[in-house]
Amino acid sequence: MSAAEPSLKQPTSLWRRRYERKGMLYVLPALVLFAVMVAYPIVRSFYLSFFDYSILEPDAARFVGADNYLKLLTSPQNHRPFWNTLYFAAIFTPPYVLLGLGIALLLNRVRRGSVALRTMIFTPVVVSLAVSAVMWTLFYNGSFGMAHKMLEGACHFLNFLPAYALTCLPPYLVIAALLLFSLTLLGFTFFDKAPLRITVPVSCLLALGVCVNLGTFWLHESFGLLAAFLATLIPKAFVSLELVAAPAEGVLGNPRWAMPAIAAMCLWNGVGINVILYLVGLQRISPELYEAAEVDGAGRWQRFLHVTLPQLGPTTYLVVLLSMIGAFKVFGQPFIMTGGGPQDSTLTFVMRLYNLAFRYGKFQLGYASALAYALAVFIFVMSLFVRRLNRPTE
Amino acid sequence: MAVERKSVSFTFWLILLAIALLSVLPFLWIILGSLKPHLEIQRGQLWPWQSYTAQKPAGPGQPPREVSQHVTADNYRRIFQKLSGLPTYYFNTFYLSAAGTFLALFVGTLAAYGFAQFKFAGSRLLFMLLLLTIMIPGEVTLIGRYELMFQLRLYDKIVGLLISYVAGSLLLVIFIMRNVFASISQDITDAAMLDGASSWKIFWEVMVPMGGNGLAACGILTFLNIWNEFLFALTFTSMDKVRTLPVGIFMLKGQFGLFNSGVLFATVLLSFLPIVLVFILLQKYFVRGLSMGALKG
Repeated sequence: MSAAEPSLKQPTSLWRRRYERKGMLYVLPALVLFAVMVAYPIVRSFYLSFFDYSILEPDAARFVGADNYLKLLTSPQNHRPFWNTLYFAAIFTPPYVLLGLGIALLLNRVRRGSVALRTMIFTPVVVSLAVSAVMWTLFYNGSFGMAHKMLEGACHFLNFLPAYALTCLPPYLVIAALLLFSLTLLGFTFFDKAPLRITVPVSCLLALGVCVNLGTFWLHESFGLLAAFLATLIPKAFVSLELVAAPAEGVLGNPRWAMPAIAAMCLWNGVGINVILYLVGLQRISPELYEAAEVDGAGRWQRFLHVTLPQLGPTTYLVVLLSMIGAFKVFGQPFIMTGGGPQDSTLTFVMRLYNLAFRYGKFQLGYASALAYALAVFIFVMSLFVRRLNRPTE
Repeated sequence: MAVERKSVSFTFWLILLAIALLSVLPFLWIILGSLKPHLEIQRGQLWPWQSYTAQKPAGPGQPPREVSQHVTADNYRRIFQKLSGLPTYYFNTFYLSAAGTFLALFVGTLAAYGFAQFKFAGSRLLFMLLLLTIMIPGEVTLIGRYELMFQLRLYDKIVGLLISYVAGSLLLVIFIMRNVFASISQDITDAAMLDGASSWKIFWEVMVPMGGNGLAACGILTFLNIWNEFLFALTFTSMDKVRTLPVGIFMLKGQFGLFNSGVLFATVLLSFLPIVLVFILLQKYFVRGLSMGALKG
């Protein structure tokens, strides 16, 4: 601080004090705005939370003490939103953080095209929450949505995977191996020219593609010879296990699928932020640490475990904190995509607050204020908890 | 990194490519859908290779005839004719974001300068108070501010939203810019002071130019926050002419979702296209600004 500088302070003390006082002028506009639009509403909400107050009849306000808070804890109508919000946080936060870390680690390794890849992964972040919610409502649509089609495909694949594996993979793998072997005997070389790290994934992908295609052919319901043969021997359940099925009404219309679907959309929308944060964190790690670890004989995995992860501790703390706070405050996405339904399965805490204050037509601002404060306390406690978890790694 | 191998790992690259393609797939799908009539969307025929699956009976008793798909600009035409308030929403959102960012930067930077450079009575206490409120989620201010909007006759006015957004973005600007200003060497300001520069001159001609990076970061963060804001805009407005894009598109979803999904596709496309284009052009600054802001905030 400038006042601590003795050289300037002592000779012109009076002038200095007058100078320092000018600071108030600079702070004043922000302070007025802050007092009116932030501090006053915070205090007012706290005050209102002890009243049975509706904006329709301001004069009928009644002091009820802590009744609003008691009602908030005991009313069964608040339990569902509370658990829904926790459920959302539980299924959203871990993949959000881990995916961010994983993509950042990969991006940090890749040289060619890393800017283009980063831009593509980051693009959803700049799309507003409401726009992406509407976008994904279309994307999830049960009759034409592409995500729905992809989910159906994935379910189909999962259901048939054991059947494919049991019946199709072994013969084709044997055939492929024989083919390769005989061609090698004839003098062809396959794995010499290209490095293994290219040929192995490519050939695995090719083999998988061939097997899946041929498997579909042999197991096709109407003309698959193997399916017809199997159907005579074993119950049909063996061919399609029916482990999972995409809901016909679309994921957003199904109480079990709706919340994970919303979480997936949020993941798409927000993971770029975490990628960027982790990339910054990775670039801050000094290369000397890696060199020292290598001198000590640490392998790749050990270097990751003992250098990269501890050094990313502060970033992880920030990312976990931000994503958890965001998850507890989730409102717009479920509000736009499902409106809280089906069967209240996506009704979140903030949506309950909004409904109480503005939607049910009663404008119960007192009760809603109590809910807002409960949320604030909950978030505060959670952030203390996260901070405590973080301490050992720092 | 010195220790990392220089060679590009092909497998990593493939995984990243798959993730990147998944990230842009919804955009692509929306672009395709916005060029289709409602019926073809409902049948799920959006991709070019599905063009011959559309079947149309040629007449009674005759076999169905294959028809190729249509590509139309009707959806866009409808938006611009009269059906939707999209242009209004656009204007409102852009106005709010631009003016809000400017005001928040100006007022916030002034305050940051005041806190960083001066030590007046109560300055530390005030700053601690500000620091405390950053822990309080914005939802807490919602109800008090809603009431205030009525009392100040700002409900359903753009100005009301503007003031609300500026006040909401102020804290972040103050914190980031205070750190930036505090990191500027004291010698520079002392030298300027000895030359007889007024505090305003120091602020405007020394501090602001030197904090350019921080300002850009704050600007981008604030702009994006206001551009995306949903809850307050939903609560403080009820008329169509003051709606912002996020609230507007929520309303349009209800309006077009069932009977005219093509228009909804086009609306979504027009809503994300400009900001995505701006992002791609300025992506270096975006990324830098966001990372800087998030690390300081």
